[in-house]
Amino acid sequence: MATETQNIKDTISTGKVRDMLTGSLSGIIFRIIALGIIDAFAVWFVINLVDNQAWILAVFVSAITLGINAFFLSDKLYAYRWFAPGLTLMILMIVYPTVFTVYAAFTNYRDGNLLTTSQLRDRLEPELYLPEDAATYSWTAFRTTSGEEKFALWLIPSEGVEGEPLLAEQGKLTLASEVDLGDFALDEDGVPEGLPGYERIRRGQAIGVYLPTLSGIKFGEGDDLFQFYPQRPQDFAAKFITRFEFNDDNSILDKSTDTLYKPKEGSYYGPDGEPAPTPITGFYVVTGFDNFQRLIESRAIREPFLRVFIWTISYAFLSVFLTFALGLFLAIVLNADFMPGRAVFRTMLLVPYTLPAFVTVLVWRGLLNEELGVVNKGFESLFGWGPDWFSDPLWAKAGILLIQLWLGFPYMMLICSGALQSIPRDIYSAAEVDGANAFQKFRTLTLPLLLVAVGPLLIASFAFNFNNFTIIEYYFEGGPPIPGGGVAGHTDILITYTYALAFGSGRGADYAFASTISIVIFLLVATITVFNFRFTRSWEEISENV
Amino acid sequence: MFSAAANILSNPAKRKRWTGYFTRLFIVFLALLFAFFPLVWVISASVNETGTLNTQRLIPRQAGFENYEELLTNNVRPFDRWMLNSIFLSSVASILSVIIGALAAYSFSRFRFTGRRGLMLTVFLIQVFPNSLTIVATFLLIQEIGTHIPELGLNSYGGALLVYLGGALGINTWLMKGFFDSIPRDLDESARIDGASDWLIFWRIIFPLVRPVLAVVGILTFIGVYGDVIIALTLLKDKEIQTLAVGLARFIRDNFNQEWGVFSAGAILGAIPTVVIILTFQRFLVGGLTEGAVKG
Repeated sequence: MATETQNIKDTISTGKVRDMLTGSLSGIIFRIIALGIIDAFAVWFVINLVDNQAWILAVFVSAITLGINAFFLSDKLYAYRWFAPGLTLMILMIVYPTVFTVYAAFTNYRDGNLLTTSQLRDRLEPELYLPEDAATYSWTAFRTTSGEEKFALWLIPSEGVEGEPLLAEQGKLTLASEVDLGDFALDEDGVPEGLPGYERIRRGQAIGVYLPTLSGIKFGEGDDLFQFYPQRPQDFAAKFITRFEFNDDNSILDKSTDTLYKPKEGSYYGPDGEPAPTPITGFYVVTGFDNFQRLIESRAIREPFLRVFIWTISYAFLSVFLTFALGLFLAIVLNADFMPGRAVFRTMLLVPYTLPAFVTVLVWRGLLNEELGVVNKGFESLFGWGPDWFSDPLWAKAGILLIQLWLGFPYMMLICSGALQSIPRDIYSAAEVDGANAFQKFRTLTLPLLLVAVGPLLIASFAFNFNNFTIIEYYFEGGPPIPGGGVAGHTDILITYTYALAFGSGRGADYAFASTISIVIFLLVATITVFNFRFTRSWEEISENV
Repeated sequence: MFSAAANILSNPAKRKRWTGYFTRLFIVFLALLFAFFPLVWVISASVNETGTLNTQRLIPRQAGFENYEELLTNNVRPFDRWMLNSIFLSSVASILSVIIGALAAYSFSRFRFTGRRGLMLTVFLIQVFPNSLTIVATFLLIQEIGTHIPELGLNSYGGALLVYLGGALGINTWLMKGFFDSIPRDLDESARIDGASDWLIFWRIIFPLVRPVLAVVGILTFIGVYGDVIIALTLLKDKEIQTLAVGLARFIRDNFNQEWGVFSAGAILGAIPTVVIILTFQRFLVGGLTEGAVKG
């Protein structure tokens, strides 16, 4: 018995646990079937990703799938089975986006260059054009009698055009002479009264009702595609040909003008250097350090970036400083044990912290409204003047800090209260003997001891506010705008600036540059974190806890 | 009565104490004024039947619940839908995060394996970088996934949940692992001798015992997802699938003045879940909220 327990302990501590119930035959079969389903799904997904040229993601999905298989097939990796869902999500949703962000920062992934070459090809391939000498046909439309609504055209060559009558269905082309007419007969124009599976649409109806639908359809198959003749759709259909031809070096021949467009850094230019016309757009390519270079060298980019950068740091610092100052002050006020109802006051003062931040900001945004808000109405009646909480850059920043103070001080009060209570009373007696007054005691004893306790939390709070998207975006979307600063506004912080670059309306998406700024934020947050660990020596504590 | 007052005034130590007491009370009063100023105004606005920012007064001329009625019945802004979306996403994300995190914490706590230390430190470090930092790449990822599997793409609950669950392993795993360590191993071992598998031990023995820490992690995740703006704003564009954090902002942004009353009603209803949860579990949560960063 004892040795058996010992054995089990050994197997547990080495991680080579053989599961006792799921090790049964049915358990193994279940595991294999489950893995089979996961693998089949993954293979299908990876094929699709490769087809779409999403290479990095395809590699990640493959690696994750291999990992899951290894975890569940190898007894050595038994302990990792428990991480399968968590690790899968972490690698897919955090590690991959991080890697892609770094990659995108070195490309020109922005409006005009958003596609991969295969996506560009997919987009351009269906484009047709009508050659000048195109053969025209008079047409009669047919509609399916049951099932999905589809159409077909019976085409008869116009006078002077060589060729035979044709039946052009959607995705199929047949010589009229080879069509099985079934019970239907040809009328005097050589058009059948009906076709098996189709009914003939009367001419008036075809033009009056169906013309817009029919105009959008390409009839026929392969390179033999027919559409209505653009100038006289009601009379003629014509044979169109594909407009673009792709070459192996990614250059594109526009057959309608017989011009060759060559790619340069992912964008297409004609022989005289003119940009290619729509619908040709660019694809994205690695451009090296271009984005970082622009950030440093271009004045138009550097100046708003620096403003945003400085405000980000000031905002995060001031937020922590102000909320901490007020929170600590109130914690001290409430710390006196002769205060009756301390617990009730503390709970009441906690209320601002319990509201979701988005509600808080939107409510304050209304209260601070420059003309109609209650705050400025109060100001007006008292001083005949009110601050421009939104249109003036400085007041806008003040407004943000005011809101930040309101929603943040309870947290600081909470952690300071806890820390204050943990400071032993007797350390003050020595100071009292030396005749120290209350302020001296606070400055030399309370504050340093408190900072040791809450220091890491203050730095964490700094890092959090560094990326406090909600407050900034919902206060004024980063506005008021910096004149000549592109999408940057006076109250923008780095994360909202990134957001505006990528998703802001009006100026087009610049994912590459947004990613570049993200990397800057990464480096800053990493620095803060390293500093935090160094400063508080908490890393050692964390490592010990492992 | 008078003698008591005279006693206080004549005794310097006691007098000092009383002035201190009144000063403190006055400061707390000012703090409460600051804390409740916007709340009082927004509550008053929500029952102000004229309903605009301009006509707002502290005590409304015409009080009633018209704004609430308008909020819940007018389908131009499907408030109930947003609220349900928010609660649904937060609940599902919270439950799944707890399960995913608990599985990992169990393994960290009970098994010794190669790479354990590295994995624990990775899990700790990775949460230093919030996923809002990579929001562009996340958006493009969900878009790419959505072209193949629309149920996990943009404008889907699945896509948003994927992003929220990406952070399921993190500081919470550490919190849980610490708690798991406090459950004596003898319990597992006696069950194992009775023939229970690891899965049974985890699910039937450990899981019920660690409910307090699971609740803390669940509540914190719920609050986090409920208050999320950046991910919901980026991924959920359709009116019907938006969360409250996005819908509420969008409907007030266009017309702060006219919609103020209805918005205020929405703000109050929308705040209720987190206010109730935090105040109810206050003591319970303080540890989780404040100790977060350092304790394992």
